[in-house]
Amino acid sequence: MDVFANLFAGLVAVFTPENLLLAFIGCVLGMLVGILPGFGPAAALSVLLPVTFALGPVPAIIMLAAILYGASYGGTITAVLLNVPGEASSVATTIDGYQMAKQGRAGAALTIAAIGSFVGCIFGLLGFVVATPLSQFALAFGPAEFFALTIFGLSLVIGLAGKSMIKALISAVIGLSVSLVGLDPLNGVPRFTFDRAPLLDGVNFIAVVMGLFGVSELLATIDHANKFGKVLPVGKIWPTRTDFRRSVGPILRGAPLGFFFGLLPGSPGAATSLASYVLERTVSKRKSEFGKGAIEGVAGPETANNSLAIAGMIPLFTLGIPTSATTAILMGAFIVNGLIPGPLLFQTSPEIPWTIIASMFVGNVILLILNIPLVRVWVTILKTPFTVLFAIVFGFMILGAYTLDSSTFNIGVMLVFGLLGYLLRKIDIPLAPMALTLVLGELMESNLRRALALSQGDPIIFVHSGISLTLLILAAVAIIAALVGRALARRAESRRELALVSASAEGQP
Amino acid sequence: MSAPVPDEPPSAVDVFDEGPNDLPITTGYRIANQVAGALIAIIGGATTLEGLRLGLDSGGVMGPGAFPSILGSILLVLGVVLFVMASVGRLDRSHDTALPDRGGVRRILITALATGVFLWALFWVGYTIAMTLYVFALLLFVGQRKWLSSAIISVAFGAITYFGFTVGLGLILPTSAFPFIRAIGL
Repeated sequence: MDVFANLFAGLVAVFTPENLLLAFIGCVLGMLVGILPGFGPAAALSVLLPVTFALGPVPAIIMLAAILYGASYGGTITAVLLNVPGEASSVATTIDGYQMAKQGRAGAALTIAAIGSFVGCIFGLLGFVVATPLSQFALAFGPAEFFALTIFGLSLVIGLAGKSMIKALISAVIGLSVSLVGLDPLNGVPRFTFDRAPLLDGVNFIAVVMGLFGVSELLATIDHANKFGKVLPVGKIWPTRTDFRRSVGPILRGAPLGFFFGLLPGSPGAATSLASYVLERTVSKRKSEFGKGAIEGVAGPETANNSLAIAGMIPLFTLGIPTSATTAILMGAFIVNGLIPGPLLFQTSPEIPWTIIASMFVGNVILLILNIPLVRVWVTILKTPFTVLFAIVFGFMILGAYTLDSSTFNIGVMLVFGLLGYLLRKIDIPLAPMALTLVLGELMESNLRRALALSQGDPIIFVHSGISLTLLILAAVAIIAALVGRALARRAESRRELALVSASAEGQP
Repeated sequence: MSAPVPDEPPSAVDVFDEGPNDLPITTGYRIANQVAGALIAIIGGATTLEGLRLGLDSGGVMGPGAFPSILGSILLVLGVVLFVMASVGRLDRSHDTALPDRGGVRRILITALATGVFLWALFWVGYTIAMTLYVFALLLFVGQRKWLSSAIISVAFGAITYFGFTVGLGLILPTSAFPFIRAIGL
């Protein structure tokens, strides 16, 4: 019952004009940036982080959370109207959403997506509230347990890997290496600072993610002409009664599916929304409509990926470990604002996490209210030539990097990491593992060294504690399960290729 | 045993599963991966050496160089593995890796040049003028928009962000080094 009392107190705290206004502005800004083609929540969050600096810690996180789900919905708009997913998890939405748009039913697709997203978020948040007592368990953590926790966090990198595990590991180790820059956390010895005073405090995480996700995305977007098609008309906004009736089942199935996928370590959004899509196609009586504009193909995946996004925040809030690029950026925002997410935050200042959680409920209501009537406004913005948006967003990012510490140094950091991110994209090295390990690096090293100092160099300390041992076993299980899953997926893919080849060979004279 | 044959024609989701965006592995892509592997190995080696210089041990406990040495060694191995994978052609290639076209290279170079000039000019002419000119240059040369619309958008952007950040958020933005520009509040 304490949990719900805390949630109620959080809701009361959110209902101040300032917090409501910030949640509103966050939703609008998130959607504005989220509708930039190719810009997902991670890029949107990194671009808009500086806007929150002058606010207090709680208002800043409220606004950032609103930016996050606003950007997520912005990505749905581009998926439906442009066939360009704003983020990987919107890929499934492009399949039937774009087909609906081609039939003049984009409005119905976007409205159902908004309703599904809302239900998914609320389901995820209810699960989130129920899961918060997990943080009590983490209060018993010492350095060995925290180190084991960071190893568990690193095991999630496998879930974020694309096709190449080696490239994901390279990205993860680069992130850890960047976190080494600055004063050594225990002895205060300068490391990799190249005699530059601004580097003594380490590389600014925010400038790094602005570069990795924002600048590199902008460069990737302008490196080809005419990358995006014409924006399709919205048509009638309100779905028909049949649309609603056909969407109820997918929404009700997508919410728990996304939530449980979100609890699995490193569960990628694209796989979750595609799993929901495949589920809907399997159970549907209208299988032939899938791929041609079936509303179930929008309702299920959109609900699932929003439920997953909220479930993915549970490890961040309860244990203090991020599980995706967006939660890593959110964790960076917590740290910049002087907050350390995790069990101690619930213990020392419970009003802070509960106000933030409550703000997510309110933010989602605001988003639902904004989404449906304003669909045409977002579409008008989407019609703004990309080159105008490019110039404005680039200028805004330069300004944002400058405001990090009122120096041009962080503009340089942002640009260097933007270029690095762009080059890494060109050789298919994923960026999400780097964001994850950037925030985990210092936590990992300092706890490893503290634990070994306590045990006088004896590594047995890591398996001596039950919690630490359990976390290490879980990390091993997560890695093995992911590797087995990848091997099975590859096998299935080659079997399917063989089947297609033999089928086409049989068809030839 | 014959391979299973799909009982339905492939739908959009089947096509998606097969990865329609994968690009062929070209020699250029392989070389880029080899270069990346070599660079990563070199950086890993340098990090390991710097870690050894910092010291693996400090008073009987793990020193400041131990963790960098571990990471550097892992990076070195991963770089070598990537180099070997690229050399034997064991690579995948997504659509994201497509090389920029000629116009794309031009746009990126102009953006880089304009950004460099902006950083140099920031402390001479102050934020508002430098940012206005920067956005103007991006709109005109990258966006290839007309002079007038570029000027209107850039002036509006410079003014709105200046007032938004200084008045709205209370942040201090650079003013011009020239007294006559500073005198008009820029």
